[in-house]
Amino acid sequence: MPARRPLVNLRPMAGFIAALAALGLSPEVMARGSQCFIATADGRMRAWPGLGLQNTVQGGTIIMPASDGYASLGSVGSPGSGSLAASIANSLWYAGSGRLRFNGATIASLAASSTLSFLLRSGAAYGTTAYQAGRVAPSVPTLTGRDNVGGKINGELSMRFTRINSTTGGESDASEPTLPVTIIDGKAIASFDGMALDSNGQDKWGNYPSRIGFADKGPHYGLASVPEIADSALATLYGINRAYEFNFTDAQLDFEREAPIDNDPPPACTHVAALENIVIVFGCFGGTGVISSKPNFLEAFPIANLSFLPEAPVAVYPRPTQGFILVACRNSLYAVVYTGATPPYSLQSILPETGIAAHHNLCFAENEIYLFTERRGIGRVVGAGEVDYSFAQEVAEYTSGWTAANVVVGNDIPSQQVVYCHGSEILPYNKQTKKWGTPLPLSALRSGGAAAPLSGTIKACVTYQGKLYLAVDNGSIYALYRFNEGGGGSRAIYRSPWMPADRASESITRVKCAIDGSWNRASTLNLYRNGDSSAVETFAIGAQAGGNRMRHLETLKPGDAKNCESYALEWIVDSDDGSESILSALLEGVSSGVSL
Amino acid sequence: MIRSADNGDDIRLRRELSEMQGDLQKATKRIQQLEDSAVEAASQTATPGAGDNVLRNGEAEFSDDAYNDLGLGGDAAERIAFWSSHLSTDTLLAFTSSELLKASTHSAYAADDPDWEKTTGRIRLGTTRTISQQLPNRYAQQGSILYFQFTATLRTATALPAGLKFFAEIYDNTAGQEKIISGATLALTIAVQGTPGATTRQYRVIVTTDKGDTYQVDAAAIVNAPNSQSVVNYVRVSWTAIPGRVSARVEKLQGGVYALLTEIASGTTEYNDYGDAGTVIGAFSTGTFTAIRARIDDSSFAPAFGVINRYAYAIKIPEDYNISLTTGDQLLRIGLSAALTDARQLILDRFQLGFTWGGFQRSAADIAIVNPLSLTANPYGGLLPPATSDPYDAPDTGSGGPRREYTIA
Repeated sequence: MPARRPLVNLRPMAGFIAALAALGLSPEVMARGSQCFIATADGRMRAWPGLGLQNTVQGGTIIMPASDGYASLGSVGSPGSGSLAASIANSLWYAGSGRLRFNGATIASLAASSTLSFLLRSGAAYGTTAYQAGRVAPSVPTLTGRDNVGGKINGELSMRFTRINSTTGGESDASEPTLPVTIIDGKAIASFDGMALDSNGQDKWGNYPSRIGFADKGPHYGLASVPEIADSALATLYGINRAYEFNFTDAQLDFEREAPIDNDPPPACTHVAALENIVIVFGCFGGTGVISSKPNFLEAFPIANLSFLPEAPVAVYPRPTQGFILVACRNSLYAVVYTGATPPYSLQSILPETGIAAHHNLCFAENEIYLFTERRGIGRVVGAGEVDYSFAQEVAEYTSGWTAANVVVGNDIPSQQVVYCHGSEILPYNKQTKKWGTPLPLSALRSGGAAAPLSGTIKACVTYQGKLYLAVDNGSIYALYRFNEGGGGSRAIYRSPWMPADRASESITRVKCAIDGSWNRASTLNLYRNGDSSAVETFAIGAQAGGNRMRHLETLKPGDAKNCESYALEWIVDSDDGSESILSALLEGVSSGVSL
Repeated sequence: MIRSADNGDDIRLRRELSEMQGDLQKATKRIQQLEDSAVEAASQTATPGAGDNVLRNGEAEFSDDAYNDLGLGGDAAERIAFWSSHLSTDTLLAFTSSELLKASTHSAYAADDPDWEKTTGRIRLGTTRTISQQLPNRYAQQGSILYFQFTATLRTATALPAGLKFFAEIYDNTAGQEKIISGATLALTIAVQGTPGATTRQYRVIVTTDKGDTYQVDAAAIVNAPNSQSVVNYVRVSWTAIPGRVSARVEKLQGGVYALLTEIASGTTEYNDYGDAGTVIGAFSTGTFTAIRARIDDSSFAPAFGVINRYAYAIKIPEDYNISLTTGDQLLRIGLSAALTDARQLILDRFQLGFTWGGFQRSAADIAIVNPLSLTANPYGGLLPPATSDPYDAPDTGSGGPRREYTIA
């Protein structure tokens, strides 16, 4: 009788490898067929604790960090697109399509469109009045002179006027000049009779007189003593309706402030982002145009601030904490940085030949960018012009059939996981330990000790306060779930690689297991041989008592695992707390010398 | 990820360049202001220059008989030269002696409104009938601005109707297309972005101005709208920037369903249809106008009794006005939106229409009439009075009799 000897010590710490290769993998990996194990910071592979449903809030197809929370666009049945950004005074800017939400709650019935819009913050919430960015010059008001009334105006002048929204500070271009009026020792009366305010929050009129004698030449300057007129202050003066009387000399003109002629509203756009004290819109003028606002004048988009990308953007990611905006196109990636010049930004190429198909194909993790590309799948940007695909070789084959537009990439800081989601499963990567976890199918979720499969498709995600939130389309809403938080656990399955017999064949006679965690639920251990899909022997392992600790289980003694030319182990545990870890499974046996 | 060293130098250089450009602009501006001060000092003592005037009988002082030297006497001396009246509903306007404004001493005068106040050389109006004068051939060119001014006062102190508007327009009196001179019919520009599909869709935009005018902008239906729309595959709709616009309603028709897509209040003149269903409406809305016209409407027109005010307007001829189609006369046509309570209550005088803005002066044709070459007809006994265009000089004595001196308030 040959002596029993160790055959293989399975120590699944090295992460998941999805290679289809049947033999030859290390005994330290989890092989295809494994699920619901994630690589943790302590170097282990632990059962996945599941997802934590966030009641009362919803996501969208576009979810982004914004201000002190997160904002989204889109609803089930009406997918969103575009982007959102926070800027001065926590104003929330948005463009694209779909229903608008902040921190998972709708804001009235507001939805995005190609017209750049924004909301103002009031305390902890956003107001429900949506302002459209910008306004245009009014028609020319009427200017009349009153002579010989002891006024300060002597000579010929004209005036130009603007629309002002005093709440947002937005000001339009100046109107055409009024016809010149010659006044002798008098005052000027401007009438806005028959002229309506705009419907975009205008409540004041800006006024810009010319210097005396320059009525038909200009320029027109601001009036320091009366920089603007409230529409409510207009009255009937000397029989002139909706009028205001001016009385000033040239010395009172503000020569530093000329009538604006480049406060143009933004063009129709597909995306918006904010950077320092400007707002930038993308996807304008045919799709490749980029134009920014004036610094600190967020509703004015002069044509001098226009530039163009080589192709239309797919997604825009503001990174205010890092001082740039990432713009992703189908075939390239760019960074937009603030310069303060004209235009006040600069477009810089990061990846000239690599892009993404959808907004959710990319996420940030500290100084790295993790993405899923159409041509080569999983990758990460580690430097300008450099994409590392090598870190994903373990799972490249597994994801080769994924549809790029449906891949959702997210970052969960507490667990150090970067997740790649497709359909209804998640593939996690621990960027600290550089190990891949096994697939996490939503169908394997559990609750209260029973199966609780989550039907739905992962559509988007956002990292908010460091934690990853996944938006799952359940047919009626985009339900939000926190990644890796105890819900009810999951059905974790460890599948070892097929291990070849050292000799012609071997018989497994002992299985000695060391585990860590609670293992407070029963589990099942299966042995397979020779490529068979059915287990040659099954062991029911009872629930363990005593809490989270390392244990050495009672040695298992297989009787049927004989004449194995190759063998594999499978261990199924319905984890409810995400603590279970397999430290080792030592298989011992003897050579049988018989080849089946 | 971004090469910070290279980018930092680039950003710093851009900022420095921008600051230098700003300093240069400030210095240039200050120099210009110093130069302008001298001009300003001179202009404060100068009287305003005169504008040009193409209108004949701008002072409404001459009869048809006197101006055109008809030598007919009778009713020819009791009707005004060159100013005609028509119903506001008339389109192809006739310009015979019958249409010329009549003085009360005209044999066919029957409580006419408008009429010619011969003794004072003024025109009076109280109804919605319009007053017109033919302009020289092709006077109003596309893109030009015509400055129109006149004085106005009221014959009585009766209040004017609420909401009264005064209008002045340049009219195309060509048979078959008689209407206010207009630009091309406003049209939407439709562009499919990304991958076209096979969806049929039609759009309409209604632009409203701050004066309350509505413009309807249409386009033919497209048949290649993307089947599955997104920010990559969409339809871009754009339209002309109409001055004074405050809103634009974008509507679409697809599959027999009309929908309001958005109302743009920012003045942006384009919209991307990403496939939003919109709000269902019964039908397309309608706008009043489909082209930009050479016309002004003044809703603040409020002349007063006992005070003569000058009114001035800039009438812009649309850039895309097709002048080649105007084979008939161009006219200046003015009028009121509503009848006044008292007959002939509005009194108008000193008409001027020209390309340059300035003080009132008679047209060259009028000056030739006022200062004829024939010495025998000179009331000054052989000495020609100096020709003057200074509006502050006393007017010369003409064939229309003495004129009342009045003050421009």
